[in-house]
Amino acid sequence: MKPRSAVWLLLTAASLGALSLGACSKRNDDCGPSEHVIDPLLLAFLSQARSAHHLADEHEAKNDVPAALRALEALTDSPKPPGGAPEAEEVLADTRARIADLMSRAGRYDAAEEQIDAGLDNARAPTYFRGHLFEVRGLVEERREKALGGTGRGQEADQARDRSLAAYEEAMKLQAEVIRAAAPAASSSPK
Amino acid sequence: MSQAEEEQSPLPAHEEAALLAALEAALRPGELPAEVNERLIELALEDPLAAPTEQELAESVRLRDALAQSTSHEDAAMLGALRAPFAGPRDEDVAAAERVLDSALRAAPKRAHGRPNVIYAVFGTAGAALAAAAAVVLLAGTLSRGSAPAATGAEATALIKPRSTAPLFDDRFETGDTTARMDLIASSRGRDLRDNRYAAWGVR
Repeated sequence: MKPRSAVWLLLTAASLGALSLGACSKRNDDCGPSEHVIDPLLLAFLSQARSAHHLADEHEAKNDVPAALRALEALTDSPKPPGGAPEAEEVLADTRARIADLMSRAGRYDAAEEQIDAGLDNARAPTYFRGHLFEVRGLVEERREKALGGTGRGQEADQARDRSLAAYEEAMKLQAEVIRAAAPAASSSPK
Repeated sequence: MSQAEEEQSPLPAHEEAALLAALEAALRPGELPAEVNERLIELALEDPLAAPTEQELAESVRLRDALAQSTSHEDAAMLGALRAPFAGPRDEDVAAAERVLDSALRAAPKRAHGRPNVIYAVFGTAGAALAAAAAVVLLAGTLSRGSAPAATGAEATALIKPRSTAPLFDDRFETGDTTARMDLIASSRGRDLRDNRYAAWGVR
């Protein structure tokens, strides 16, 4: 290949690459998700979450807890939208709280605890989402305590009660913090 | 007659009298005779789905004949106007359209077979030069932005970004309300996505 032709080829390739970069940076809808704006992928995930919870409602209404869990776990098992959008994390945290509640109703306390831990990973900031997870942890441990109390495992029941109380206290602390933080900004910031 | 002349010309005597009587009645309504009142009530209560009267049947036959034979009837013009939008194109309209199309195609300049390579060469060189310039500008811009948002400049500030949904909620959560929270989050961000699209299209 002649040197002149090679230069032209290089320039053309660079141009095409740069043009595609420019085009994609201009329109997120056309070029896939952006980490920095509300995009269709995030909306698709939120719509999926909405559907999963409505489906779970239907199953719960028929007392079909395993089916409700399957609907919700399909959401937590599905890939998250790229970019780490807080909306996706918070939706997952809330979904895990509901899963934990359902699991503990079915006597699956350890699995419920795992869901709470994963949810707390999704909701690290002091928000109602995090506070709610601690509330549900309190509920899970309370149910465990009652279940253990009836089987003569008194010491384990006491431990569960302690964990329950600690979780409720943490929930109250977080909720107070959220209210305190929201109070000055409540009148000015848009939702 | 112009519109101004029409507006200034006096009404015929009988129309003027009728107009004055109507204005007088509107201004100072009088008592209705009992039999007129009864007749008005009867007309108002008339069954719209009742079988047609002989007079109505005769009128409908007269109108149908007028439409079929294109003879005059006081309602024929209005019915013709109502039917016009639903009528298919007439043969003569299609023929006229084809004539205009043929004539336009014949008048179009023929493709210059003798010079395509020259044109490609000129546009190819110019295009490559422009693309190279664009590459330099865009690559420089991309590199200088580093980890800047995907959208550029003013557009980046106009587009709505992902953020915590916590401000949507004023009270502590109940487990039974999870679905309602999902609904609220999805619809709120749905509105944001729509606004972003409008912003990207430049209509906001």
